[in-house]
Amino acid sequence: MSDGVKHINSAQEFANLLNTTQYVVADFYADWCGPCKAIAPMYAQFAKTFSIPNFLAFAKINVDSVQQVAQHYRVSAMPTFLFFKNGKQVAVNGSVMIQGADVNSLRAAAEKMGRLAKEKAAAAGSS
Amino acid sequence: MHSKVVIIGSGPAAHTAAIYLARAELKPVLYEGFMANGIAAGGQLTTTTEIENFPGFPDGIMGQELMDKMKAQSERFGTQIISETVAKVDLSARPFKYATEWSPEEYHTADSIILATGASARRLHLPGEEKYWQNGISACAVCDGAVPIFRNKHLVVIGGGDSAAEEAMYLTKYGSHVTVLVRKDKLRASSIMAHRLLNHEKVTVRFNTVGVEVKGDDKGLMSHLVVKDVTTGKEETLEANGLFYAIGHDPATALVKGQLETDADGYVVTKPGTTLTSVEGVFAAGDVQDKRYRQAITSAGTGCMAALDAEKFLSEHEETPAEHRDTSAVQGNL
Repeated sequence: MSDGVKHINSAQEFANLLNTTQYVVADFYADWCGPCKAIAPMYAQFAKTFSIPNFLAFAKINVDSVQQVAQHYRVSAMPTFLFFKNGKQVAVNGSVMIQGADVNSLRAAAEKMGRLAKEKAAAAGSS
Repeated sequence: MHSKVVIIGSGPAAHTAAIYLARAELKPVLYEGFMANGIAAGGQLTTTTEIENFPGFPDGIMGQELMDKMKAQSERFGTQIISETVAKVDLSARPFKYATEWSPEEYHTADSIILATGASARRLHLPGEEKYWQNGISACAVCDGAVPIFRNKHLVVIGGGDSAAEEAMYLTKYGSHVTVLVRKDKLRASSIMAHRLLNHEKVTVRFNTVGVEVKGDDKGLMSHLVVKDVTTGKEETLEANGLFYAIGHDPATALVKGQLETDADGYVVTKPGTTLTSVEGVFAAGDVQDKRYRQAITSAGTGCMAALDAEKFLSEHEETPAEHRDTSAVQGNL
């Protein structure tokens, strides 16, 4: 069921993920960013709990090595979490993004996307 | 949970105390917190790059790596490390009581507490700062320097000390040019850092200059900084896509406000030459009680002192209150 965190290495790879997976959470981070490191275990836990192949994926994008993607989404602080549905950026629980290691907001967003993805997956399975 | 000694903090003072207490088999519990005071576990060193003045690392060591090693050393000797932030403490009676941010109703107790909560970077609260905070303004150059909005852009650092110099030089890796605003007519930085800064081709240092207002573009990102020359009073608008503060620190004493004696600047007062605070059984180490030196090595030093002070305190108070009976008035035995 779970396939953990998707490490994105190129803009193409991220585009492919958005094409093939209905809901995507993206974590923009850097190696030497303490807050990114602090929240990483929680993010991995959410990925493990909520990921459903083709329906919900949790991506990690290193802003140093995949600059193009970070630039495109105008990431201005780290970590930044963005949300996508059918390839389009969306807000979750009224927030277009979560900036900083805000674990409560991230948990709420991950739970909500997990629930939506589960419904879609169930509907797809029954049809 | 009851512990003999609880350490609150995650920097060099906290971990040095933990190493000593764990080796003394006092089973210390260390609350490293989760983004406590807005800083990741490991403390202020996680917001710096290379540490060149910590003895034992002749080639330098990254701040984060040094803290990872200290944490590993604490764990090696059996320190229990908890990644939750202590939100409340009650120092009015022993054992002391405390609760964490995520379980505020569940109280734990401790015979002694080592407060090593450190300090955090100060902000200026300029007009526009709230709006562009994290959208151009950052308290951590090392954390945020690599984000795309700063690439090949003009960046500004405010401050005249070593950390301002370090941040400015770090940012030259990303920005096209870095301007350092210094309120006074000279740098406070150590001569080696000042020399490096003043001779860096991508850095301009402007003396007698302060920030006045942060302005942004229609996309919600910072684009300009209004600055003022304090000698002439003349204002000028600089193009700036990033602003970094390096203007000193405030001690993290909100947790013990009103319960421990603090000085006019909010630092915990310790008995000179010791880590003893105004409450018996509570010890303070590191930046929370040090406005003078504030170095990783001096924090580690006071962390060690706090551990030894706590150990002595615990050995002198080994009997628990229930077992303790005053027998001095008893005359004979029937």
